[in-house]
Amino acid sequence: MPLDNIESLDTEVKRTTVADEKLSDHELILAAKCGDEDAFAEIVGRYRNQITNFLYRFLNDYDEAVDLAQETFVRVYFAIDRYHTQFAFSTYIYRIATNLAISEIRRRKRRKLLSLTGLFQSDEDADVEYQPADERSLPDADLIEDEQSRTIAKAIAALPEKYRVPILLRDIEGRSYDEIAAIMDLGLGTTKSRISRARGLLKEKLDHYLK
Amino acid sequence: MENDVHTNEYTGDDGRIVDLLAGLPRVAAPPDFDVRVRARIASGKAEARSGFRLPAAVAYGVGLGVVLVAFGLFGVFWMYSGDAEGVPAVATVDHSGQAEKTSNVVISKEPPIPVSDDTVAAARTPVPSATDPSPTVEVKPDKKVAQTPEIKPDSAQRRARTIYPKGIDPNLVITPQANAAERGKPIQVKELLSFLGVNSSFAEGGWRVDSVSANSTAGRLGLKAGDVITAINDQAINENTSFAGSFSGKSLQIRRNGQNIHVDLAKK
Repeated sequence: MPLDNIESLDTEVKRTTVADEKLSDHELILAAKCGDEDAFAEIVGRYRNQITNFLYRFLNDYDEAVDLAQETFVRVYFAIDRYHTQFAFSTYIYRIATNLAISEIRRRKRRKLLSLTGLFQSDEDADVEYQPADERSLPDADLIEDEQSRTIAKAIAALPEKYRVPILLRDIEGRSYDEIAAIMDLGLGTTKSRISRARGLLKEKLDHYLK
Repeated sequence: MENDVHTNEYTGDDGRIVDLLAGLPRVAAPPDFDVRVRARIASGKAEARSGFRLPAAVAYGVGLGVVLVAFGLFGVFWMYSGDAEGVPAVATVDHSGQAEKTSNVVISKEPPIPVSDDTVAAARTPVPSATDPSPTVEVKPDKKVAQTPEIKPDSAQRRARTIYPKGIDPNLVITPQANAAERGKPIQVKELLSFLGVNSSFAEGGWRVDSVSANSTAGRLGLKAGDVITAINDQAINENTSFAGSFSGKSLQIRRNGQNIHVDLAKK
């Protein structure tokens, strides 16, 4: 390649990168369908933290959350041809992440049923549903949560799945009711009802912090 | 993003709950998140390129089936090969009077020769080869023929005269083919002496011993090179003397240093 073409190529790459940042999710997905790896990398960059945080609050396990978040993007990549733009991409990817998280929760339940240690747990522990305590240290010092945060996380983890998913999407991820209804494939009224019910359950568990 | 920042439109406890949840610290993906996603995608592509793969259970089942079939076939072949080796070939008898050959056995109608019980039992051993001539077997014709071909070794000799293999005519004489071919053939003196371990040549009016094999009958008798054998079984021998095929050695006449020595073979 002639030396005088290098500068123009570099300029084009920068222009393409800037253009990717301005593209909508649908446009990036369309580019990724055509084999643009940079477009898919931009999609990953946009949603990796949101999906990781959502899954962490859902599972209360950082490593598992990161693993499932990566799996979420892998599934998006291999199912990209089946993606339709009639839904927002965020709806699509949250739906995949939710399904993966629910599968993981059920897998944990089966594992707990097979575990002999589950027979000796107290009723109070059973209220926390399936959730084994994550004794591992968090990977980042910034993630060290205070007592209040741990109590809230434990209360969220104790919620049934059908209440936990919508309240996480609404009050932590800030998704709209319409989008949550689409993610959970529920009616709008049912979605609002479940969110309200989830808040009521949390109030019972977190009344100490509400005074 | 518009959803990243949301305001709390609720009041009372609901609003407090919303504030508590929104105040939870957010976790971020690890720095190598993108790299790991690309690695997973690459490994997924590799698996997709590898084409159709049998499930593990099916693959193990097929492998186990192949092994079982192989063992089964081996067992069948082993069973049939064992029968082929264990059962000697049985001669079919030509009752029209024509001799028939199967394997190394010749069946012919010749006058029977009386033999002992031991000889009859020996006749029931596997068929001899052409290089291993066995004695002629005779079975008396006036005995009954039994129908059971398998006889235990202990009872074989006891009932040898009354039990015969199925399909064998007791009136027939079974003679090894090699024995029949060589029967009556005369044995030259040089060949006869070689049986005793003596390498000889005709000289000095007899068969002079050129050399003696160490572990042979002649060696044990004390024959030495230079001895001249002048007679066998008290019969003087010359260059062309021969003996009948049924010859059995009894004595030698030797001349050593001008003296005649008589050697009795029966004592050795």
